Amino acid sequence: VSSDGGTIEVPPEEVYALAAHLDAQAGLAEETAARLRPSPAVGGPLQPAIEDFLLCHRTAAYALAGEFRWLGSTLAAVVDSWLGLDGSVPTPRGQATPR
Amino acid sequence: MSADLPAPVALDAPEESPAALSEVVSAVTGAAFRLGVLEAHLAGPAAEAPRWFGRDAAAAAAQVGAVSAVVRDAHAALTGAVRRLDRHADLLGQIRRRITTLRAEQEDDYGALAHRLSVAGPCDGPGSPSQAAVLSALGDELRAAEAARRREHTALLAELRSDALETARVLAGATALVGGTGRSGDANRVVACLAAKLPGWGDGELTARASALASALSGPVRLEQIETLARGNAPFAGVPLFAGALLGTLGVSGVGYLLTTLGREPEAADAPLARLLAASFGAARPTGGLVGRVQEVLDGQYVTSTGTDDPDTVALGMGAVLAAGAALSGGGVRPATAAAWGVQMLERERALGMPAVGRVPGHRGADPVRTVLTLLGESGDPDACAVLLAHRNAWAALLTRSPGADGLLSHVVHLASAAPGAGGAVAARSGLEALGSGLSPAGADSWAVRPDAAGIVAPSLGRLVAAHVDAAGALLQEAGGRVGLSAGADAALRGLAYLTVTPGAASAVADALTRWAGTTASGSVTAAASALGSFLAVREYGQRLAHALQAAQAQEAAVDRQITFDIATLPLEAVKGFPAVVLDAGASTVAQWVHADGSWSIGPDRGPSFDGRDAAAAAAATVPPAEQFRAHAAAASARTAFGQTMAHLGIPHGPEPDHWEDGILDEATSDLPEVLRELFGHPAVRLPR
Repeated sequence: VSSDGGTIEVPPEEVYALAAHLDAQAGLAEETAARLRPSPAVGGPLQPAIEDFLLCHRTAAYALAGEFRWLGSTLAAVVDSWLGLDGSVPTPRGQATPR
Repeated sequence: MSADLPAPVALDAPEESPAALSEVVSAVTGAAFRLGVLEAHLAGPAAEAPRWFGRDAAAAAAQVGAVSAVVRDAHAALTGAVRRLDRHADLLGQIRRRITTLRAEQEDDYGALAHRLSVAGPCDGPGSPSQAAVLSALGDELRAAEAARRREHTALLAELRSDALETARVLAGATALVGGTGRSGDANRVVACLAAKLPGWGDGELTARASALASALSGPVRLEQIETLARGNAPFAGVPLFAGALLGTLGVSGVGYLLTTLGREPEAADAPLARLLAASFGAARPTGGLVGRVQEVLDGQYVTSTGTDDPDTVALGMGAVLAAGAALSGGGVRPATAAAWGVQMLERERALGMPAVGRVPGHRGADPVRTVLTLLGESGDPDACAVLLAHRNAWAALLTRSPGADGLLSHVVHLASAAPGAGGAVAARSGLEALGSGLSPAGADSWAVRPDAAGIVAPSLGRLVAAHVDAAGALLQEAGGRVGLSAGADAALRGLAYLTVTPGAASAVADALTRWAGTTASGSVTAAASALGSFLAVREYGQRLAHALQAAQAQEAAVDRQITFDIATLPLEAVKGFPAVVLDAGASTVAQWVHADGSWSIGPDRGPSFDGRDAAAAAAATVPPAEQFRAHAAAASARTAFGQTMAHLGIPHGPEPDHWEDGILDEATSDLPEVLRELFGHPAVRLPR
């Protein structure tokens, strides 16, 4: 229970799985960006629009990749932090287990 | 038979490459497919942690939702683009095939005609009706077919071009979904847009870009490179994080260097660097690890009162940044910063006696102080206006500088009257001190305020003083006491006196003071009465001061006329002997006729007069009915305060017009006025030349 009365529940395996899943999406986003690399010139009035379109969506795909990586690592760090906190809290009286 | 055939019509293929277009379609299709897979992955159960609760869980879910929305938008954009590109590729194929068919028909027609001409046999000779008819008929047939092919070819290319433009429009629309505008060089706009939606990636990206830009701008760099960097990074400048990181990394010295660079530019307000700095100063918030550095830059001292050329150039650069910001849709430098910059410029202007525009040779741009006043006036921000006006030196510089911005200043003063609390009160006090500085007997020759500037600003200053009448009341109470006044209080009191000569200002202050006295009287009748008595003394002094100033003005005008006349008649000095005597007498007569002999006159002082009885009556009138038994004490207090304040202020005497007997005495006792002044301590008032 948090200090403001709300419930805090952190299932480590679930959050780690989510973090890994999100991190994996970064690979797909990077593949997307790679597909949108500059192509041979089409020519005509369409050429500038194609160049700008590819550049914008390539940039967006890289941004998505960066965000997925950040989400994955941040979520994993959150769980690490909670696990570290749990490990530092003394066991309540009478519930200690012998090592 | 032989004949000249018309040249075949050119049936060129479209310039677009089907292979390249096909490659683009394939690439975008592949990218759209991957985004589709991504979208599905994010919509599935693996993208959730259903048993995770708490703030972290909520924040993570929100961010996964945000990134999913971007994926969805990007996927929709790519899918739409693929459809349109596919359609265009189909059309391109159709048109290319049709043009190929036209070329084949053209080849067939020319081949058939050549064949018919070759089998028709030799020509019967010129004028043979049968051969001429054949030639004419064959030529007409070919020309008609060629004309039809030309028309169709032109129409095909026009159709393709029209479809290409429509496809380009769709692609531009598809970039808008991720922050593009459809113009070239949109990548940074996409970064700026997505950084807001994807802060986990965006914050780091923007910080890194800002640091890189700051390093590039700080190093040895040519002006063209600065402009290119500024133009390229323009989409980020309005983003608080980027702006803060840029300014924080640049630091005060880096920003100062860039302001100097701008100040040397002839059209600096239009420069991309000016827009970059304007947007950055407007957006920057002290956050992150650079809190202290960003605040230092926002509060930085860029223009010092001393030093030679550079501070003036920096001031011009500041003016360019302020002007550039005014044209930005997202807003430029914040009014409070503009006001602080204005104070720096005016402190220097006051110290050196000349504005930056006058000290930088060859500068033809706008006056930065004028730009500050314009920006503050348009901002409508009372607090920012009060920041500028809180400084006596700023006021003094504004009231003594060349005409041209008095109306702007008046508007800024008017706005400052709405500034709550101490800010407005300090601005009012500073204004009074600047207006009255130099009017005391000790500084009689240093009153440098331009009377026309004071006249324009006085009504607004009156409203400012009235809006913060507590401060004026306290000043008047201090003047009515027996303790000597500080130099600042003395100047403020004389400034208030000058103000009361302007009808609008006088009534505004008087009304506010009367109301203030009415409320204050419930606490202390004598204190309120003392302030009212002092105010009547201030008004009395103000009236006499006005007459003295008029006299000084008349004297100065007479001296100016005399100097002009003397210069004009200087050639007569070359005449010697008796003619010189005649000419001298004639010149003196002419000088008298045209009022250029240095004489002047002024009517008697007919301004209203106030004395201790008026003070007593005014104070008694404000005593609440329930406390009438205190009216006598109030009147006595006001009368005393009137006398004390008059003793502080003295009676101002202007110069007296010369009389005929003075001319005789003048030669022998040219220093007499000074001697008398020293003996009797009369304040002298002299207008600035």
